[in-house]
Amino acid sequence: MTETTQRAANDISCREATALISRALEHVLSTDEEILLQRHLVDCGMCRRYKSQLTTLRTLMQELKK
Amino acid sequence: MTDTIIRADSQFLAAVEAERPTLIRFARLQLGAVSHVEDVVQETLLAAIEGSERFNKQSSLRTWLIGILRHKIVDALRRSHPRAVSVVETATPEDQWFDESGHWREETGPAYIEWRDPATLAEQQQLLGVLEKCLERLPAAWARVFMLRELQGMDSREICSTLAISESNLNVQLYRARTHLRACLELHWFNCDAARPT
Repeated sequence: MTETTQRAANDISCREATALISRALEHVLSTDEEILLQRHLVDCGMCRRYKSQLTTLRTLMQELKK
Repeated sequence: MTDTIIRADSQFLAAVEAERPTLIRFARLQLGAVSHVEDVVQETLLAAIEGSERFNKQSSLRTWLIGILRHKIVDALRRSHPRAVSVVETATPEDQWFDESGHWREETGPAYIEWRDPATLAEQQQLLGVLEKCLERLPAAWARVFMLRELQGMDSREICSTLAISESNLNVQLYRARTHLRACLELHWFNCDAARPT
């Protein structure tokens, strides 16, 4: 197995990363999940924006309660 | 019930009745437009009138009524058949958001724009109005779960028990609701930022 395919096997997709980002709003991720997610976020601007947008969404829902 | 109304102060009755539209709006966000929203609000108003002596005036009448309404909404959700709140899968929404390799589709993923904070109170109110519209468009099953989590502040265990769903089902529905709302807000608000006066 080449280095590239090894790296690919350990990486997660945006679909998996975003599911983890949402789940992290419910409970703490496992260490493995957290490492995979952080490694993905380093390289993926769209998922970084998704993560920040979910935080904004939660804040807006708090505002809606008032 | 007639006795109850006669006993209650007429000014109090009028004040409670004046809150009906707000309560309907709040209930509709959680139960959907086609559900028994009017009945739940009616139950809330009756409970408020019957328990008027428990209103301590420390909180606003609206806050007190919404507190009662929240319990009535949870009761209504518990009464509904579990099958009514489970998702019937046809095509998964994830397929619209991600390509075959699981990466964002350019047209549905987060755009290269900044989500700017509202500059004024009026703008904040407009943004919340857009959020409400987006919430109304959520599929009913996702909306119920999302509202219990974010508006009622229930934790995962409470929601699973109320709606008789598994935790993995809950996670999927919350994920879909959030991803859908993100896209809706971006499309109808944040992506229009450049066109709005600051």
